[in-house]
Amino acid sequence: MAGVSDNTGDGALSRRALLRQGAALGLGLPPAVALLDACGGSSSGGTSPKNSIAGTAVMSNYPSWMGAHVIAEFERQHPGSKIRQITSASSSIAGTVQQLRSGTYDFALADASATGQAVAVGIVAPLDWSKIPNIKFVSQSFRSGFPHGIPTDYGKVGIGYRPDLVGEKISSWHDVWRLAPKFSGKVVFIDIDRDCMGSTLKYLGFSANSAVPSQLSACKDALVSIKPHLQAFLNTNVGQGLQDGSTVIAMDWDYDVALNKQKQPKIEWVFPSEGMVAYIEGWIAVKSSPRLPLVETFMNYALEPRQYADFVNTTGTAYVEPAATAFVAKSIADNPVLRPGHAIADVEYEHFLGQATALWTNIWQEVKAA
Amino acid sequence: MRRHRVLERLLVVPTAAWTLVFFVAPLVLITVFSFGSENLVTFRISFGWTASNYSAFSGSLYLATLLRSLGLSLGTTLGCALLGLPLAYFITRQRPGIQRLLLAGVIVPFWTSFLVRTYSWVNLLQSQGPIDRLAHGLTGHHVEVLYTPTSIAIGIVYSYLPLMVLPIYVALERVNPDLYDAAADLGARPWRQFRRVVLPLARPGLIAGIIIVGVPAMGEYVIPEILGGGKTLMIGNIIVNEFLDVGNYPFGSALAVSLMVVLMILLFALRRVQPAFEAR
Amino acid sequence: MIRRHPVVGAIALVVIGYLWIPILAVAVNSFNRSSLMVRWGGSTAHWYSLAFHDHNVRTGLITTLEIALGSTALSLVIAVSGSLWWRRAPARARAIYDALVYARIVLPEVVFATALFFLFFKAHFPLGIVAIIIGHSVWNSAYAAVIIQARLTGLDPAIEEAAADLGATPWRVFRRVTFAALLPAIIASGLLTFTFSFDDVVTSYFLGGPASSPLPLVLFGMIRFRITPEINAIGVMVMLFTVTLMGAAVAVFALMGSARRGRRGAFAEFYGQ
Repeated sequence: MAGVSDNTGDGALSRRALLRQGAALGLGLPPAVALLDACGGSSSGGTSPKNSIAGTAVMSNYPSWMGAHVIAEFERQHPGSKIRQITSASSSIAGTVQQLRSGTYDFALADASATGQAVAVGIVAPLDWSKIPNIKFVSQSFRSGFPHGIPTDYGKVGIGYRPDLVGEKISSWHDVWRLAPKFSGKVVFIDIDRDCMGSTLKYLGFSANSAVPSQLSACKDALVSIKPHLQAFLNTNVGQGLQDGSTVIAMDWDYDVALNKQKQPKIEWVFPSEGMVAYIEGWIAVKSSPRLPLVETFMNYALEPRQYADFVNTTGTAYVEPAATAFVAKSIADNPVLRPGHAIADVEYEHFLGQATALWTNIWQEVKAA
Repeated sequence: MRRHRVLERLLVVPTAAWTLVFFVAPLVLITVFSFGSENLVTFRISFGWTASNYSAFSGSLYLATLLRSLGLSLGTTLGCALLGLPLAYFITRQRPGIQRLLLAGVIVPFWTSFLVRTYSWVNLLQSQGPIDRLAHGLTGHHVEVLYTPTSIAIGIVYSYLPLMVLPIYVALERVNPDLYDAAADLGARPWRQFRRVVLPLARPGLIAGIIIVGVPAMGEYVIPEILGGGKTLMIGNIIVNEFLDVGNYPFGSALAVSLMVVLMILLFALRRVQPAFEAR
Repeated sequence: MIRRHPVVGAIALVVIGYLWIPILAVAVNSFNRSSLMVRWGGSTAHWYSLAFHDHNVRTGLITTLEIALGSTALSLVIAVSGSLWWRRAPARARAIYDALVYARIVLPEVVFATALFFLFFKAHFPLGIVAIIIGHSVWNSAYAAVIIQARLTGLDPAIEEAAADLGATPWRVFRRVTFAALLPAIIASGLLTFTFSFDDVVTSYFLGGPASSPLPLVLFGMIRFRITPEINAIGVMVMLFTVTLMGAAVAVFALMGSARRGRRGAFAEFYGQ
């Protein structure tokens, strides 16, 4: 479900967000900021004609999912160009696509499923890649995984928990379903259809991209059976309760558990043995937008390694540009939760399911309504 | 004189036009489109007079949600009545000055932001919050009631209580207090007095209160959204989800129409019992 | 006071306490230094300054004020004209009018909001502040109509007839007699509808579109994202504002009620009893 707020990316709001995230990451903020300052006014695209991209581009984004300084820096270097973010967190993929149809946005953050559906609806604008040369910094595998826009990050859904409060080791989704009744009211699941149902399908031994009605029905039953023990479905600050123990087990994203773990070392991350669902997301441009040149210029700017590193440092997410590693905080670059460095049980990337999307949407609504 | 008459007739135009265009027409529209269908992937609506939305609704978990909403609404209306009736009666038995004070005490909370009042319960009911710690201190048990149907019920009763108190107060207020004294003189004990004298006199106000609380409560959205944790949804949340999240307008319309029909039936039944509720 | 009715009195006082405690809790916690608000962390006015400087909050406030003013003006025009017509309308037309007013007050907001949303969608009417104003005025006009109508029925038509007999034109009669008598009701219902608009979530959510965010929606988004005492601070300021407005409405209401028929007048008129 969407909740709306409006971040302009500069001013009091982003400074606050930066301080929060910075503290969470245990960053030495001064080094990162000094780096950016040292870069001074150098911009990646050289001298873009400023007049042609004057105006305001509106972006649909997940809350706080932007480099703390990126927009301010961009606007400073391109006077007359503004980026305005409208943030929301929808509970289903269809919700993201719905927003794009409204004509309010010029570009948006979207994952592979939402992008696929948006393409099917016909509202994704093809990008002029000649305007986005910095795409070369992004690894080819991610570019293939996200061809309709610029990939910005990826992640996976696993388990975060408090071993000291649970009293035993959790290593699988089966453990979660087994322990939920014992810790009724202290278990949190993600409030997004692809992530939550995808993980449940993994638990049942099916593909996270299943389109088989009987499998999806089993998935629904499994979720409905655990629902009475859930504290809540959340799609922002999912793992926050793990810090004080009000949440004991959480289905959560890797970056979120990593961030919370830095504040509360007793939190542990689990790669569930049945497998995990993963996502790639990035920015796509909306077809009807009259601001495509501005959008493309901003996309290019955001992919410049130092700007991209600012994004990674702000959000704590696993990242797609190896070149940015030099500027990314060690606590993220070397984080075993984000990049395990060893083979883990199967990680399945979610993708657009075509007509089966309707089936997923209906089942998710039923799970929420039950 | 004639022109005056014509002008007077014209006075109804703003109301008529506005109500027709922005109230009646939209309701007709969603009723018509509830018989359509939509491709959930491309969001293309096709219209074909199919009742598939209604049959999908009746056979599934959505019906359970409607019943849950009905149950929550009934329960909270009852709760409001149980709390509101004694309160209203008590107020009418005070001196006028005290009456005004107590009424202010009931109404002023109602003037504060509905959203903020609902939100306040998140903090009060959360684990380790004040109520939990109080209960733990007194009884040794934890009270974890946030994000359950109970917390939604608490929130609804809390927000709608003044709406129940006021009409009962109005109804009881015109009662001659001698009536109570007469009953007492005739030997009726307080409970009997209450049952035989107060209750029937309060009835018109009680029914008005039931209507004003029960009907809108069924369609509540904000309270279950904030206090339900995404788990406990009422029919209002489902309708909003279907429109804004899923984008399935025909199905959402079918749900909204079903809700409306159920409520109109309830209203009709209740008005039968309470014909005096009309702006005279 | 309680001694005479111990049981009822006890219940009554508990209930009133129940009504006030959450509000007081919100107010107290708005000064809580601890952002989790589970324990008291010392007092600070930091959250209030945060709220004042919050760009979203300021924009939201201005948007909400615009919407509330627009919706109130529109609703009053509709309610006054409709009520004036109602006085001399034929019975059947009155019945329809009454039913429509009743329906707009009692039916859940979710139903209107979705229906209007769909209408605007089909008609390609842009969502935004104007759409919200239209949406609010659908039900706001009903509340205003009830109050104004109640006041009108209490008006003795003999006065207007006398004025007409004395040679006043219909317009003059309206302006000097009818409107003057209606003014308190208009002010009171105006303040009431303003408050309702100011506080509204559902209709604004549907009809505002992603771009416009009235203050209640800003708050709603903040509540769903992360709970902090800044929300409490904004809440306290909003509460003070609406309480002041409504207090003014009731003062006006009470004045007109007591001027006519004693203290029972106001509520009884409102509920048509």
